[in-house]
Amino acid sequence: MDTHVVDITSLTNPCITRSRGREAALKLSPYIDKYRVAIDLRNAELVSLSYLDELICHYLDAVDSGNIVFISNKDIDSKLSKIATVRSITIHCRNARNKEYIAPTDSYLPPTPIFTNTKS
Amino acid sequence: MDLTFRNVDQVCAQAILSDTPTLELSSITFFRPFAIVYLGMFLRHHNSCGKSCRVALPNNIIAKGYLARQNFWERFNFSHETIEREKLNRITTSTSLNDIVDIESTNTIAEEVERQVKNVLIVNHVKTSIPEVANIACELVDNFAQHSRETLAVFHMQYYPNRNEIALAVADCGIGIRNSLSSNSQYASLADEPHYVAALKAFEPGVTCSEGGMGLTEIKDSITSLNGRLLLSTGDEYVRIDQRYVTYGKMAYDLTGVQVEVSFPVGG
Repeated sequence: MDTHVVDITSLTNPCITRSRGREAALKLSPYIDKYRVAIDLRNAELVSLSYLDELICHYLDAVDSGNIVFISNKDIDSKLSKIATVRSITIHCRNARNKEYIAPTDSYLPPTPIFTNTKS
Repeated sequence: MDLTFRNVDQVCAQAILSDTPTLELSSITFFRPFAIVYLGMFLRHHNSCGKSCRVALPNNIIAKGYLARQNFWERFNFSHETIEREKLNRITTSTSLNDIVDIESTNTIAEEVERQVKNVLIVNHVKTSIPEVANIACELVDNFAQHSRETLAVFHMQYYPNRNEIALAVADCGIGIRNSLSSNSQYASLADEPHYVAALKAFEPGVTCSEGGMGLTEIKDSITSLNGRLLLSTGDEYVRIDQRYVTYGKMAYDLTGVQVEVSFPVGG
């Protein structure tokens, strides 16, 4: 299957909010069955976690199987890792040198809150 | 005296003790964003319950003038259901850093606020991660729009050039985090827990009343990366996130909804 590269900013700009993520997912749908899709996230000023989560949640199986791959960078990798953990999926990534890798899962430990009588 | 997160709840709690409720602001000389939006929600909530409140205005001319410039009393001292739509102070391109802005629960409100915050930061040459700060504003507003079940909230942004600091505040009188989360059967048990337990739960990735649940996680991550601070009150408790430290405690007044201030140091 051919790989079709899609610049995320061609789907929506800005790449924030859950509703924009939904919009991007809908615009992506014509490509999903025809191609392996590589979504290039690097040109967006900021890709929010909510946006990315919504986009990925629309295509959990395709993302998990590697039919959708993300061209990412270090900043975005940490967001992909969070999503991979919360949604229990494998997220396939590619760096600027076309080297493919799996976003590592992220073990979330809630902080231990400290009770305080003063607000200072 | 400054009115801040530390004492605004006490001022509100004190106000309702007497037979003729009175907000005692006469000694106030400065209002932090959290205090101003909390006070606004206190008044709005009381008025929606059909109660009125007298106000001892600040003696300090600057503090008094500040409230007047913000149309503070017209904005908050009556039920928002009675505000004529054209009198809502909607965001325009002229919004300055010092404005309080009424925000309505619409699908596009979060993006509108994000754009506006970004514009203001750019125009004022604020040295910070502008997309990240604007996204925090966006997520805070989106949380209100998605979860509060309230039609109107308030957004406030303040840039303190002398302190090299930005503060964003969002407040509503909605159902609050505990009621919102416990409406999801997965988190129903939170209904019997203190407010702070529900608030902390909401910061965990994937925890939500419906779908999503990443907004507060992202805000917490941004606070860490920007060396910022978050103050959140809901009901009679608060949560404070200071970079990596999380503390919680009691508010002196039990106010419905969610009131948040996020602040960051910026480059001088």
